[in-house]
Amino acid sequence: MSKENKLKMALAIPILCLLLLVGYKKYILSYGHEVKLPIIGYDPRDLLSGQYLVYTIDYGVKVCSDKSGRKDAFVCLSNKTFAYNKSKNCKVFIKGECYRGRFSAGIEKYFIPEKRAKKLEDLIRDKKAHIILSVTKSGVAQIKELLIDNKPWSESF
Amino acid sequence: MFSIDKKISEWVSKGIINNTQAEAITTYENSKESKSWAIYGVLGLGAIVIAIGIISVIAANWELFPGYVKIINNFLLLIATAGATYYAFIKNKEVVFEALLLFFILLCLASIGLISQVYHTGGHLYQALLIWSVITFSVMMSTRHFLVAFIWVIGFFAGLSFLATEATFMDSVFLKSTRPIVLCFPYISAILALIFMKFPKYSAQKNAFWVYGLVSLVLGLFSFEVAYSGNLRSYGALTPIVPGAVLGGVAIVAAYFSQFFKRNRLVLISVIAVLYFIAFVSAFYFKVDKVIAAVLTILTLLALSLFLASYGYRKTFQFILSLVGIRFLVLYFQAFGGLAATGIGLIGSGLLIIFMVYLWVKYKERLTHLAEGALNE
Repeated sequence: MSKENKLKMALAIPILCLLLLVGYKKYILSYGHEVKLPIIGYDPRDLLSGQYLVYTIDYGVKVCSDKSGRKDAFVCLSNKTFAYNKSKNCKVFIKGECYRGRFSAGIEKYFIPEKRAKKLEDLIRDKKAHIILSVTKSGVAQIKELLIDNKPWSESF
Repeated sequence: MFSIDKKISEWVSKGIINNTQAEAITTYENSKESKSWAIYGVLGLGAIVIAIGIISVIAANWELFPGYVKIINNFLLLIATAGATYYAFIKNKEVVFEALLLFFILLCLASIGLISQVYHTGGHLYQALLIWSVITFSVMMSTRHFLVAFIWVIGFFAGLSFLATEATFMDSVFLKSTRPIVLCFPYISAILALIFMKFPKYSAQKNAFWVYGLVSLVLGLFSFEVAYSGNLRSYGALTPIVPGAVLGGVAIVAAYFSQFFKRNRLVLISVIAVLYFIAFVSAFYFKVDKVIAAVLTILTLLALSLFLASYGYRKTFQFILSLVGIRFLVLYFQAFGGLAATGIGLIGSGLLIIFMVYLWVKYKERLTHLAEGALNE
């Protein structure tokens, strides 16, 4: 292979990989099981950390009772149970990890415009807030929308 | 160019070269595309600043446009940069090519950040850095200059460092601490550098790994040893040092089988690997007495400086040796810290510093020659 072709390939690989990453995210959003879960501020003093909201998802079940170390964990959304091992009977579940008593599945941040951050923080604290998730069969979850009083957050302004 | 002109005038005046030769050298030097470190450095800095600017624009939430528009624009920018890089390559514009290559790999990192932002992904930092390392590996292999390879190496090792502390499966090994992974870095760098030595055309990549190995050894040892030796508490479990021990062994075996080093240098490289392990582990892990830890650090640095001198790396040898001097001084203040609080103590400390600088200035060249000749076979 000529040097020129090698370089073309070397430059194309990262672009293709990034396209695949976007495609994977779109796939989860398009083909995942949609669920709506309430959220609460993780720490009222530090709800807004940088330009994203940090919150805790209320799964309707007590999670991460074992506070020692970091462990893989599973929240079953179909029968509202929590376990450190994957359950065969659960149809819709989210895979994450427990660390310091918190369950984290990579969906606890919502990026927001800087100018609207403070107002959105107040809205989440004062009103009912939910997130819409798309969950794959393997337990990977992705955020679809942030709702304030059951409306997309952008409509609250 | 000024320095070469000055040297040429000096050589002509001393009768080393004649006027015709001087003119030929000047013509040749002027015809070359400038590849100085300063130009690469400034262009690299420019590329880094632009990439940071792009990351800042992304981070400031470009709210006027929906997510898909941001993603499309990002890919258009990536494709345009890749095209410009390729164009610079075929036009043989080496400096522009390297600057664009650096910009491109940094843009790839910014793209991962953008995708993460648009899709609200709250993953770990190691995931972003390691994904970036994997997808830009082919680009790093295309560079012919140290800077791009070195930036990639820094990102790769930062990813490994965060992996050790953030990944669930690493908890049982490194016990949620970044420090034991630092022990592994010089060994991993050396192993990868040895692999690249097998392929002469990848000398920029080889150099990047050697330099990172050297920097991580010196910085890791120097900073952690000073900070942690003499502390009575030590780790309970031995597992965090096992990867370092295994990788150190692999690095020594790889050096033996690589056939790049003659007998004396092979022995010295093994000594450095073993001394570094003992110095790091005893100071940082078992937290031995400050004096013992300092002696082990100094021995490691001396062995390292001797190794560098044997390859003619005069400046690096002298730099490492000056670090040895600094470690002596730090040890002096560690052991007699109370003296600095008294007037007489301060005078004594000042005199010691001046005496060490005097010794260094007087014997620097002699020591360098001695070290350079020490490993001649």
